[in-house]
Amino acid sequence: MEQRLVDEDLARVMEPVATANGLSNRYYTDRQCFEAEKERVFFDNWAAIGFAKDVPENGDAMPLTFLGQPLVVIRGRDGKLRVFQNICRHRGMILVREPGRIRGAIRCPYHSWCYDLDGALKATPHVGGPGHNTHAAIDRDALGLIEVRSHVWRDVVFVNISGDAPPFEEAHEKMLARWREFDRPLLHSGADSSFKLEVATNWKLAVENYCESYHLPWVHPGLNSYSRLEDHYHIEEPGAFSGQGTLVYRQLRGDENETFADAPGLGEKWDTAAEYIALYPNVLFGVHRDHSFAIILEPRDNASTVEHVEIYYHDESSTGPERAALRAKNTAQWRVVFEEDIFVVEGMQEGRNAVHFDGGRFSPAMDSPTHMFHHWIATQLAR
Amino acid sequence: MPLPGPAQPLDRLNGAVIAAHEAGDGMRLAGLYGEAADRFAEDGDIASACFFYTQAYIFALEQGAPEAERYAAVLRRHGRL
Ligand code: FES
Ligand SMILES: [Fe+2]
Repeated sequence: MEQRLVDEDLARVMEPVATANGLSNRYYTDRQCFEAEKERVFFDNWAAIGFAKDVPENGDAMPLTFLGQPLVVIRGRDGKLRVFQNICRHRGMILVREPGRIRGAIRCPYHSWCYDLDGALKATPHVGGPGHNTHAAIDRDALGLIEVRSHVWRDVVFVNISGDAPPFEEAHEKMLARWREFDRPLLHSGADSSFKLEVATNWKLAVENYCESYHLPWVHPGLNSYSRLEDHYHIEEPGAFSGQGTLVYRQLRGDENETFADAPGLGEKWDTAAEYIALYPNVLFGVHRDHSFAIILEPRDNASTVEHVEIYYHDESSTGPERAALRAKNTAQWRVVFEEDIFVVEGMQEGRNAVHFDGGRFSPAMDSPTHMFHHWIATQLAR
Repeated sequence: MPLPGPAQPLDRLNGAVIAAHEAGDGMRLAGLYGEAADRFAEDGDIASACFFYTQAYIFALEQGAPEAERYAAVLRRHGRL
């Protein structure tokens, strides 16, 4: 009975936008739904867990917990970034506790089995008895760290924990093609371009809100003074991403009228266009001629999400000290915009305690990118 | 696990080892264990020497210290690695 109800709910979400309901309350409040989502939405797809800039040098390691999974991101001696389960193959001890540089090997703090940066098991001290460091039963070659499939795009580290998703380039072929012009190194200047927001909401509401421009005149009146609703267009790629674009992007100017330098070689469209895309499941990307950003949504629980915001520039002249003031202004401006959204995503979460709510409706004209996201979630959950 | 071998050279190093453990000073630990191992080796106590060479090797390996190779070589010579 319970199972059928869930299926009927999802079937309503998958109707055309004009007749569809949104996902019902349980997908925002119920523990079992959260667990199902963890497996089918996050582990089975390419989920974003962190930023490559946070492991800049060979040997850098960054432990993190994503949806309960202990992971460690390591840049190897070959410069390649890898993600491993952050556990020892001996008794499953957590290996790396603090971010930092690994000089030689990763030594498990329990019985000191040692692993190389590429995950290979290098040493098993006393495993054959005191002073005997081998044992016939312990095949080192078979006991390296367990690697998780990973891929870096636009500095975001994605993982496919199940190992079953198509390769990233295939799964997100359309996304990669859409922004190919921006395919160049993203430059990050550090703390002045980085912040996080802890929000009492379900991560999906942050995606839903990001996808649509409908709320701009009401929630971001400042943005809207130069960016009118009719200057926005929908971006929709079923099964992969959705969002919005603007045709009237204006560069930020400093006190001396200075601007950030453009990414070289951009087409004319980008003189005034900017695009804001939610790449399913949990990254919100933005691109402009002179800067980009990425927001990773870290679901802590049904009603708790951390938004990790990182702003990037496209030219070295933008990340030096002479642009520090303009960068501060840009970061502050984005912070205002993202903070303006907090009361709505928290308010919608609170609203999902209302027992008679039916998931709501969508404006066929304005909400189709949001519905596209719902449709994708429903498709993942109904598989 | 009880430490093997005579306690005497260990006693002298004991305090230093504990302090280095507490300070998380892997380089110093590798050096101290290596020293202990060398002394046992000089006394012909191979079992104890290999225990301490193992300790020294692991800390040197963790630190990426070149001495790791020397300790590994001794252990290998005794069929311990
Ligand atoms: S659990 Fe890691 S060495 Fe024993
Ligand atoms: Fe918004």
